[in-house]
Amino acid sequence: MAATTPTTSFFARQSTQARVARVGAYAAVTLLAMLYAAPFLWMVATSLKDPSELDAVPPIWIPKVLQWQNYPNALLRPTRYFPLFFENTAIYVGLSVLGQLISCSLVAYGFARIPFKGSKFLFTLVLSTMMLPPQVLLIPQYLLFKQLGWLDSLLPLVVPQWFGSAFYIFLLRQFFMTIPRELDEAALVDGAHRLDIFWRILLPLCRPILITVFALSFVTHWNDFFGPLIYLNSQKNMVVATALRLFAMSQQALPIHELMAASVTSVIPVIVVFLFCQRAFVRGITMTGMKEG
Amino acid sequence: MSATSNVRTIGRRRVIGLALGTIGAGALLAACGGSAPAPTAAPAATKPAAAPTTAPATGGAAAAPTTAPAGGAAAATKPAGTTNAPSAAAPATSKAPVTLRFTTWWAPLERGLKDASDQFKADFPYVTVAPEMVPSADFVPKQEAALVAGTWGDASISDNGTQVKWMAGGYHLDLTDKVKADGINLPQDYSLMGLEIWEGKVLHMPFDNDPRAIYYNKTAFKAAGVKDPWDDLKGKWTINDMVEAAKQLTNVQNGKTTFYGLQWNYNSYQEFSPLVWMLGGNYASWTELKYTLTDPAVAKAHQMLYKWAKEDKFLITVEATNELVGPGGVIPFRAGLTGMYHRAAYDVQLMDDVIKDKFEWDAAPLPDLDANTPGIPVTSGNPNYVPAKTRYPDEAYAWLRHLSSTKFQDFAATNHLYVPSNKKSWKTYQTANTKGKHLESFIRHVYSRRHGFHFYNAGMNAAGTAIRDQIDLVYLDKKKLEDALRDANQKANELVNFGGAKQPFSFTVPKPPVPTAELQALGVL
Amino acid sequence: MSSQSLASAAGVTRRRGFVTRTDLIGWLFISPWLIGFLVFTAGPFLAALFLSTTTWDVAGAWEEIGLRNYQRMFNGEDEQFAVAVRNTLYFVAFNVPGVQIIALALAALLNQKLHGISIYRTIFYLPAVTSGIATAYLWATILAKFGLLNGMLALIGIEGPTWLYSVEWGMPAIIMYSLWNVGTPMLVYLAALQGVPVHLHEAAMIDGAGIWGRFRHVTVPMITPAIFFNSVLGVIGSFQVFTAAFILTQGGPADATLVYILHLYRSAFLNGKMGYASALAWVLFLAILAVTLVQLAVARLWVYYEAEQPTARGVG
Repeated sequence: MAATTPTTSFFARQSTQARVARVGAYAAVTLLAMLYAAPFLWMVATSLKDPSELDAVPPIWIPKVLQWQNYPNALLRPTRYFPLFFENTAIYVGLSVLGQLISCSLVAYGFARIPFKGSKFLFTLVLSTMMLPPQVLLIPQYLLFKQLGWLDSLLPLVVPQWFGSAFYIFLLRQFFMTIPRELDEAALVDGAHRLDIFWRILLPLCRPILITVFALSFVTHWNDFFGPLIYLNSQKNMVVATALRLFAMSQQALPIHELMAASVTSVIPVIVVFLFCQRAFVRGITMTGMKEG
Repeated sequence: MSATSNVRTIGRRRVIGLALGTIGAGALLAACGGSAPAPTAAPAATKPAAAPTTAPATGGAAAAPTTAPAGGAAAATKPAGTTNAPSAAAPATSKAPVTLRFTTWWAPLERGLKDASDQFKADFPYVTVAPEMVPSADFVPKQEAALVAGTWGDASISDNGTQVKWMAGGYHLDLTDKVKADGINLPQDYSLMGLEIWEGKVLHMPFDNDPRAIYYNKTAFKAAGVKDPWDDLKGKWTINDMVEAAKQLTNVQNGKTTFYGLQWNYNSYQEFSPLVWMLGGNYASWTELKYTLTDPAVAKAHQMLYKWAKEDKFLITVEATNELVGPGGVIPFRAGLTGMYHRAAYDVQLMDDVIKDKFEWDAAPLPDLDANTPGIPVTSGNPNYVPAKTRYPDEAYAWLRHLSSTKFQDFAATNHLYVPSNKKSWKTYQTANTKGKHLESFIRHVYSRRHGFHFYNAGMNAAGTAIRDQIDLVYLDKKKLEDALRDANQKANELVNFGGAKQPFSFTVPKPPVPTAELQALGVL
Repeated sequence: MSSQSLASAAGVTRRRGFVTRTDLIGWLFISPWLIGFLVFTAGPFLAALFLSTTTWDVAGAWEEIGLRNYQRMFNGEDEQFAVAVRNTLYFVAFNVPGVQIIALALAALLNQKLHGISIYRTIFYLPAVTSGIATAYLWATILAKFGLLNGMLALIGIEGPTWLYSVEWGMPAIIMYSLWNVGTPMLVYLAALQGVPVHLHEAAMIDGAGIWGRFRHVTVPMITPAIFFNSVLGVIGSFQVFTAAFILTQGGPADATLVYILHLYRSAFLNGKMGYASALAWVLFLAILAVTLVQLAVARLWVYYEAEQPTARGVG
């Protein structure tokens, strides 16, 4: 037994049971996938409908004729020019995600690895910031950004991201703590600087979680409409999520097919990012294998 | 023990620690000279109703001595139609370029905004109007943050369900003198909703009216062999006629109703008010400034509506709407699932977009209670104001004056963007581009009768929610009507808020009809 | 420099007044957060505390009323407060464990070596990326009286309720909607599961452990940090549930889905009672803080970090 490679032993011993388990897993995963994919499929279906098919009861899942013109109609109106919104969103999301990755991993490292005075108290404070409902902070924060002269720019949206955010700090700290401390300590003994250790030793080990943070942060900022809604005024500064929200709230007789066309388009970058991160996740497995040592 | 995890030791005595720490952090912030936001907000509001405007806050009924009562009713020299011409208040054309931010949630205006700013540019070449559309559902928090900070648009639509708070707080520019200088007589030239002239001061410029009528599915009427309100009844019909039509239109298959005779959003007091008025009562008092939902007429109106919904089963309930189309915002009438729909003129320009050629529709007047008791339709409005902190008060006012001028209101009327509040444009609305629809249902059959507006106050939206919740319980058979109305009345009156105004309104509701002679002169009759 | 690092690594603290070099380095690392906290959060945070003792309506006059706003909550003057608390606890009680079970189950499925797994992973994450508005329309369709869900229930002979317009079923419907949106905790579990060494499973298998046994005794102990993380976040998030009720039911029918933050939101922006809303916020904050501190205290009993336990527990 010990002589065979782990992989062969895995299947040799488990063949029947494993096969049943695999079939079961496929069935379950497919069924669940159908349930979870439904909203997106519904969005795609609706985005290609003729308006006459929108209110149909029971709902129509496959339009008779695919109405591709819904897309340009939704996205390229002079009063609602999405290419500009995509550009704004890309800048906002890019700067925010970068800021969060850098600041949160530094802060999380500090909390996970350095036994400094007040660390426990400050960490409790980090967690506590997640607990105050954002609705009541809205007006004081707004006045602060007004005093700083930042309104109608990306600054109130982006700058705070460069100072970390509790959720990702917590997530990264939890992950750092699962990595054996001996790694740091050995490096410290070898004379490495803390920043070196963080950069050269820990970060490479943290690839999966960094990619997770990247993906989560990307999605959060991409979909965030409330912040941009409050802080941005001009049409030229608008981001995709706000434009969608405005679109959705703008008329009683909502052109749902066009709204869905815009929604589908807005979701595509997120899906692409996510698929890309999936591949990185798989690569990440081999990386995490290293810590067994 | 260098490997001690934080998690293992956190949690003891941290409640106190956290509280102290938070205070400490604040102290630190203050010590660092950081601009703590609360103190900056507070001074602006330290004195009750401290007014950032130049006009003194009177806090009482008496208007400032310089202010002409009732919006300068005395100065009716110039008809509103000519107000788009540059007047005394209009600055010279050789000024530095100005970008005027105009904030609105009023989406149908999107179609007319470009024309509006082009027209405006002819008179004010140096002003560029930059519209800022805010989703209606998010308008309140956004306005709340920005008005306090003084960063709201230079001109703005109001949120008429909460706006009184801002009017009372002095956040509106007093337009009384400007309106007077231009010789505009608001009460004479416009159909006013109540917020425009507040305690004698002009705080809003009128914009639209949104009268309700009965939209009906002409195709369904024909198919069911029901008398058509226009073709057969010549626009003169009663509640009884409507009930009979609704009964015949309703279609039941296998015990399930597949088509309802009538859609009338009974849980909104803004929509059930016409029935209350017709029955001789009122749900609020414009003189005592409180809700009066315990008025017997309110109960009578709901006994009627309840019977329609639960016994006759031709009125679609919220529950039935949910069963039929789901709660996703599909309007049953537009989806071809109800025969009639009590709804505002707002839908006129949207109906064709949605319904297309699915069925033929038209609009009928609100029916009379009986041959001797005319119907009393409800209307509403969304006026615009100039925030007190704008840098361009003259230009902002000129822009709002333009939006309410005959020139633009005629444009809006021709395109059915909204029912103009400017009386001079009424004729255009009911005659231009009607495509055979009886749009006089929203003009002639509203203003030639007694008609009402909403009970505007700072707690209107909140009171509306409280009332809706109670009414819903009745139609779910979870509460008795009398109990629900009593509780609704109590809650609504806790929320009612006029910001210290003693008697802000210059009229009571329902308002009397516009005199026949005037309607004839306007070409409406 | 290196000798000092070495010293601190060896646990030797060299006192310089109160502050050691390790402290300085630690503070330097966390300084981005600390500065951000002081500038962007602490002020507004304290402002809300002060406002909670006033009748501020944002627009104009206000007065200080001490603890009056807090009394209002607990002496029954604000009936909706009790309703909102009850509804929120109902939501938390079902949503927190529900999300953990579903997210972990999905992550476990996704951690299998199946073909096309990356597509499946993306699909399961889709609900978290599709916009709230699109999702709301979909759920309106699913939860309608004759919608998808009731259609499926009819197959097994159950007549479904009018979910979103039912006093009894409104809240379960909101919970269902929430349970379907588990993308983020699922990702966290997935990342954790990928960190479970294969050799531990093999060892357990050799000892004759079945799938469930391995899951229970190998996987679960190894991912307790993730379970802990997701539960803490789940509790914090569930107490602040808002969007589902805001979009799907607006708190109705008859307040059946009026959750705490919706009540707070209405108080602040609809009723113009920012002072009272701030008091509501602080009570909620303290409640969540208390629950979280209990979770942190209990965590030592069941959360294992590999850093402190080099060999995995629970095997054989």
